[in-house]
Amino acid sequence: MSSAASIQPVLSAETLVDVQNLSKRFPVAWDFFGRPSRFVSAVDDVSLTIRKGETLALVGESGSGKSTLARLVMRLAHVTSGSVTFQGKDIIKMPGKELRTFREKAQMIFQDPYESLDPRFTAARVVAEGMSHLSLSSEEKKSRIAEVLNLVHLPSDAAQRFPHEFSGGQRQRVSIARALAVNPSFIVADEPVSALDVSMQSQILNLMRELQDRLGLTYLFISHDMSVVRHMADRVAVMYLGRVVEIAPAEELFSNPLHPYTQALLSSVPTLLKGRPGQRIAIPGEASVVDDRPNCRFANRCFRSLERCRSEKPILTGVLRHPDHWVACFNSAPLLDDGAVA
Amino acid sequence: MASTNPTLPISTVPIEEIPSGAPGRTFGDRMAPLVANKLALFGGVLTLGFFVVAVLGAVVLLRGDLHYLYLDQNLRGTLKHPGDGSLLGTDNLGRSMFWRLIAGTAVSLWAGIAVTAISMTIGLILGSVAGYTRGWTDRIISALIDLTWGFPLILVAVIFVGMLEPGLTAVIVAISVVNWAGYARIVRAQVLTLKERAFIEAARSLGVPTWKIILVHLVPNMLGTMLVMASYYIAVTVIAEAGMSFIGLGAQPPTPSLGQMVSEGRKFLSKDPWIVALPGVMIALLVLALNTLGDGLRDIFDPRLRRW
Amino acid sequence: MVATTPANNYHARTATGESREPLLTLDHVTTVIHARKRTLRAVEDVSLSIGKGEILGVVGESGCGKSMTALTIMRLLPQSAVAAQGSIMFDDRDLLKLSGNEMRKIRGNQISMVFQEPMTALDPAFTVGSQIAEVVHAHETVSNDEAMQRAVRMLDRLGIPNADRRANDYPHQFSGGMRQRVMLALALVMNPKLLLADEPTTALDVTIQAQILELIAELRKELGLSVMLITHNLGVVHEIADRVAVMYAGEVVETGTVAEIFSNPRHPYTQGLLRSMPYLIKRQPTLHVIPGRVPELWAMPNACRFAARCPNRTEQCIKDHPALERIEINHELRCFNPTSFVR
Repeated sequence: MSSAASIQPVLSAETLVDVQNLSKRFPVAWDFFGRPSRFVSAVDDVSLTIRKGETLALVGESGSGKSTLARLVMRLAHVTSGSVTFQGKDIIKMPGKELRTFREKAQMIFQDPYESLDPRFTAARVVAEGMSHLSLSSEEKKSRIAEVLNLVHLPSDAAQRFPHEFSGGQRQRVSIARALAVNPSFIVADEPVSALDVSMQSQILNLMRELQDRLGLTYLFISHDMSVVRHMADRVAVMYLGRVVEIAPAEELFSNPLHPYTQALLSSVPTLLKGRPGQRIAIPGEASVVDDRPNCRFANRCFRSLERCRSEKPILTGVLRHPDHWVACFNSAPLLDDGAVA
Repeated sequence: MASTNPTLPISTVPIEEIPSGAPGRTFGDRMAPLVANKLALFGGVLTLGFFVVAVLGAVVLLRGDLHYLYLDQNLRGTLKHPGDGSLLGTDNLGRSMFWRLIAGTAVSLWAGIAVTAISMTIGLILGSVAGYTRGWTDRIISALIDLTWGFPLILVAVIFVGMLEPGLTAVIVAISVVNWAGYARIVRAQVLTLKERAFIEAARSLGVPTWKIILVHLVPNMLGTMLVMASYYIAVTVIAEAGMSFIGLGAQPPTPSLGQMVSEGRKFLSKDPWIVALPGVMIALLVLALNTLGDGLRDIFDPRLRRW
Repeated sequence: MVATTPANNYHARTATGESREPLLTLDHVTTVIHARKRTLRAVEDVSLSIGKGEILGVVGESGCGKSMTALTIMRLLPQSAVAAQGSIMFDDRDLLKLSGNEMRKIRGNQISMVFQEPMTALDPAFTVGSQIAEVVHAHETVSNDEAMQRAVRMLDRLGIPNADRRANDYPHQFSGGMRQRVMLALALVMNPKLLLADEPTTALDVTIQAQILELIAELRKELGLSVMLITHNLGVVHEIADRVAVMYAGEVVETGTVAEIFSNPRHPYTQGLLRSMPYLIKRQPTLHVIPGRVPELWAMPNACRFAARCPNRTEQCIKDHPALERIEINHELRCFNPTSFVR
């Protein structure tokens, strides 16, 4: 039973997306007859809410399940159990017509700018792809395409060009334009700048910020890059091997991380803002999970693990000092002033 | 556009140019690997030559008033050697080898194209559906592919020809019924990889229906493979048709067919070998041309070989 | 049109000013690629130096020539590319003038390289132990047992648990971070003097990246290893490098100690880079954007290559080509109009 069902925002902001006990399992071993005998949950009993107008960042390293979660929320993959509601409606069991409306309101931006555009489509065709079922005249379509390309600061002659003529950053903008063309209110951005050079990253991040201000968008921003997340996010959810281990407003998370994994993650990030590398918290080994037993999946690498961590599954619980900070840990503790481990 | 805040200033970020003069891939750039690969160039030119012959042959076959060219028997001028009065000699009935070869080549090549068109279409549809939708549809179609794949071509052909009348139509149907499977397999494999690509996922997230994704995204991105396969499959069909004509199941006289000519010419092999040799060489050359063209096309479409 | 700078007397200096003996010196190295219709100048007039036991970070965005520079040092250029000018001095020998055989004795033995994607650099058909042993066999005559023992020792030294057992595993049985350690083992088993690391941690998770960087720093201390660390991540450079060289459009535009470059960058490109990375220096609501694009390799201007995008450009910048000059003991710069950096 997850107590995360009671994550209620303190501010009276409207909930746009509500994820409850969401899981996605994959079989990893089969018996003699070919039936699956053992499963691993790539997303394990995750609950969280996304509030209208905010940017919720989903952070984690490889194997954390963040990309899988994004696709479950977008209904691009099958859910094993749990629910996802969008504006109060359950999207998992949504019938065809309503699903189409959902697909207009919720859009996705992908990581690889070189792969997310069909190399044979012109930019205009890419952008228009989602609009085909709206009954627009070709005049209206053309003006909408121009409007949206302008929103992402691409020149007007971009419409007739092919992907290979654009730079990575420009391609990503075409992707964003495609998402905007159907007038969404919610955008899932899966590592939107990870594949870009530094100078293009800043352009795209600025653009996303600007679009959010102008159009009132809500973002689910997935990234493994903590500096980018710190720049963009209002709230941050940290995932490890399929579970949310910590969730808090951005500044709170960065100044007062409580889960040992979050602490280690933040200390591994090279940046000039903190102290000398000597204070880095090193965690040995690598992330791997074998099956779905009840335990803390970080226990084998944790510098604060207790006995109970290996046999009980920690649940997200509220932190006393802060109304919107939640941790799933039996032994969470703040770092000392110099960034060292308590 | 809903909810645009009119009081926010239009951003002052400069709109950057897309460089023109980016080395776009002109037709010349694309054809360069084909030209550079001498063997492929040879295949291409040769195939083109055969195509011209096939067009000529088709004209002759289709226009009733030109049938005499390959039908006219001259019983006093039989078994003439090449160069002895006529260009390529005459057969045992005094018919012009030259025109028979042209008509026969036309039959072979057009049969090849017809079969390939039919089996490509069937294979494309079934392979894409199987690869994209997976699940039970995939299992059924894959089982069908495996079943068809395993059948010996000649056996099926004989069965079909037995059911219909012997003739070119029967042969085309028979080969198509078997050939589509190999094609479907490869299409299915391609679709399995292609559908993982992000732009397909993007199309799904936009609500584009499955049939449209297959038609508009998958098929155009498989054009390269399709073209390469077409050239190989036409060659395979040419051989199959020749084989069937050889045993009498193919195009029936008076329509000439290269296989048929080889079969008839066996009787005269010792003294007038060109009656067998000429059609045999035509078959071999045609297949060689198609295969080397296929190799060249494969090189053109190989993304790894595209540089600068 | 290109002014030259004597690089022969350069001694690398540490942050405290001690001088390190140079191990590898690139002197006006230019590498060109002969494509179908044009000549692309991938590396232009690059002069660099790495001292003994020093970590030099080479930073730049994609296409700036940093990988090509490393491949030029290793003489592993693709067929269409040629090191057209300059010299690369290593141990009193010019690497560009060595024969194929002589170069082969150096690769893997005295100078090694690791790459970004360990999966493609390791042969999936052979166990990792046998691949490392193969390197030993290539350079020394030893028994199979001896070579395998050295391989296992190396894997152990690089933090692979149960090294003796894991030496018999295949590359696909290792995770990303472990594979990178295997790559390092391959590179270091012959105890080379210099390691060229081309984006060694870019494909790894940040916690694993931290492990690998720490490992490299330890090995430098323990083995006296010099490292040329190629990356686009300035943060990584700040973590472990002693000196840094910034490259843009095939040229070196600024070099210096890490402390100097990060506190007092003079080149507008370096400044732009530092400002456009979120939270690298300070928080900013809108990130700095360097306008424009890197000029294409076939369309390099004869004047300053950064001029089109530079906020400080002057008349001279679009007419003449600046040379790399030493402006302070720890700092070289290629710029006509530098400004000081305001954070």
